[in-house]
Amino acid sequence: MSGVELTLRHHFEGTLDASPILPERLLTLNQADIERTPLEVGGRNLVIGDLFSIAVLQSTTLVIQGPVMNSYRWGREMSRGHLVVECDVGDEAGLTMRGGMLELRGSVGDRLGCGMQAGRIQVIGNAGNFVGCPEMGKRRGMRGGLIAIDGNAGDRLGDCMRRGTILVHGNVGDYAAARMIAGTIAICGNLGKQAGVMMRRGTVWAPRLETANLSGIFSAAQRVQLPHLTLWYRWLATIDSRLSEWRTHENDAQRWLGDLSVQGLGEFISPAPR
Amino acid sequence: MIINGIDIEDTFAEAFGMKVSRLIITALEPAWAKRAAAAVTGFATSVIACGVEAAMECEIDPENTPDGRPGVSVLFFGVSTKELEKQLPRRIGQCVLTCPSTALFSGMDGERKIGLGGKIRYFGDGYQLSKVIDGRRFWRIPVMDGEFLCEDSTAVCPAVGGGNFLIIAQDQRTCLHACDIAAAAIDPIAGVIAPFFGSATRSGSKVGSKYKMLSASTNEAFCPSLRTVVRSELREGDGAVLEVVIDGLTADLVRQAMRVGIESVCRLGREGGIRKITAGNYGGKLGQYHFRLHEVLA
Repeated sequence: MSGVELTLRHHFEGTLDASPILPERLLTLNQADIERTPLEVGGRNLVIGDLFSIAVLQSTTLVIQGPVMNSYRWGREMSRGHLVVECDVGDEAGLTMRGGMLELRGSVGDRLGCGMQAGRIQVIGNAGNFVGCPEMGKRRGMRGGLIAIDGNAGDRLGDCMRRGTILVHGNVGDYAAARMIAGTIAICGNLGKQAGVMMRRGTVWAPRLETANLSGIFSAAQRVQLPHLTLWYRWLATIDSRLSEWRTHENDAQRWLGDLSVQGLGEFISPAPR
Repeated sequence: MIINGIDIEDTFAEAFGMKVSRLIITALEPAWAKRAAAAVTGFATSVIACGVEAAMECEIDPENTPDGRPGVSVLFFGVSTKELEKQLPRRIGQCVLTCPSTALFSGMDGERKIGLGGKIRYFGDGYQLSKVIDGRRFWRIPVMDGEFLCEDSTAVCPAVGGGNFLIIAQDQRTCLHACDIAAAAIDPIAGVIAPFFGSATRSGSKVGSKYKMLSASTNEAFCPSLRTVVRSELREGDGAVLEVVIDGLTADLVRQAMRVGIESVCRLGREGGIRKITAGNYGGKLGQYHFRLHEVLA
C-alpha cells in the first residue's frame, strides 16, 4: 500500500464534508477509484476528482494539500493509518475517531476529537472550543486516545471527558475540564476561568495553574507526593521531548481536589515549587 | 560421570509446567523495597502448601524501574493461572500495600492477565483513583504515607518449576557450605529462582504417605539416619543430603541454573567433602520436563 497526496485544484464554494477522505479507505483503492469517491460539498454531490489532483507517494500516508479551511469532519470514524492535512481545517476533526494518526498541520475549528475512542490527533496550530467533548446528543466525551495541541485551545476543553489524554502546549479558555468524568489533561500554558466546574474525577496537570482559575468549590492547595507522576512525566517526554523539562524531584506536587459541589474527586496538579 | 572425584548419578530431575508472573516492587529506599519483597515471598517455598513458590529475582537500579526509584523484581510460580490469581492479590494486600513507600508494577508482558491493583483498589474505600499512562492502568490508593501506586493487572506466562539436584556430602556443615556456593552461582541468572531460603531444602519429599491425609512425606531413601533400616540411596559415610530446587521462566534457564549450581559444588571436590550429586524424580510419570544430569553437564 503506497501513500496518496490529494492537492486542491481550485477554490470551491460551500463546505466540504471530509468524512469520506480516510486513509484506510482511499489507500486501498487505485487512482481511478479514488477520483470517483463521492464527496458532499455545500449540499452538492461531487467526487474527489472534481476538487483534488491525485499523486502517489512513497510513504503509506494520505496527505491533503489545501487550503481547505471551509471543510469539516476530517478523520471522522478513522480507524487506522495516517492522515496529514497540511492546512487549517474546520469543525469536528477526528469525530468519533477509533484509531490511527490524524495530523493537522494548521489550526482547527470547534469540537476537535469529540467522541474520540482511540488513536492520536496532533494539531500544530490552535484548536477551537469543546476539544474532546461528547458528540452531539451524547453525554460522555472522549473515551480514549490522545489529542496533542501545539498551540492554544478554546473554552470547555475536555468537557464531559471520560478517558484518554489531552495535551495542550499553549493556553486554554474558560471551563476547562468542566464536567470531566475521568482521563487526563495536561495544560502547559495558562487557564481561563471556572476550570473544573462540576468535575467528578480525572486529572488536570497544569504547571501554571492558580487557585483563581478554579471554580470556587475546590479544596485548598495541598502539597503531596504522587508516585505516579514519574511515570506520567516519562510518558509525556516520549510524546513530546519539549515536555521533559517538567520532571520534578520526588514527585512533589500541589493538588486541588473537587468539584466538591458534586462530591467530585477530580484533581488539578501543579508541580510543587522547589 | 565423575567430576573432581564426585559421582554424578545417571538420573534426572523431574520438573513441571507451571505459570509465572513477575512483579516489580519499588520504594523510596532499597531497603524498604527488599523488605516488601521478603514479606511478599515469605511462606512461598512450595506449591504443596504455600499456594505459590516465590523469591526475589534481582535488584533493579532506579533508572530501570518504572517510577525511577530503587526496586526489586520478584517471581511467583503457581500450578495454574487461577491459583496465582488467588494468591497474588492476597499477598500484595498484606505485604506490599502495607509496606511504607512501596509501589508495585507488572514486570512481564503476556496475553493472559490477572488482577493486581484491580482487586485491592477497594481498600481505598471509594477514594482510590485510576490512571492510565502509556496504555497501562494504575490504581492510586490513598494510604497514610501518601499513595500506594499499583498496576491494575500483570501477565501470566508458562514456566517450569521443580528443577532440582541433590547434594550428598559427608556431613551437614559441608552440605550447607555447598548449598551456599550453589546459591551464589545460581543467583545472577535472570529468570530463575530457588524458592527455598538459601536455595536448598532438607525435607525432600516423595509422593504419598502411610498417613492418608498427607500427599507428600519424607523421602526416607535419602535420610542418613534411616540408611540401615530402609532401602536407602545413601552409602556409608554419606552424612547429609540437601536438595536445591529451581524454578525458571523456561526449561533452558532451569537447565542453565542446574548446570552452574552443580559445577560450582563440584569445584569443592571429593576432598572437600562432597560425595555425590543426584536428582529427585517421581519415576518420570508426573512431570513433563526431565533434566538428565549427564546431559545438563555435557
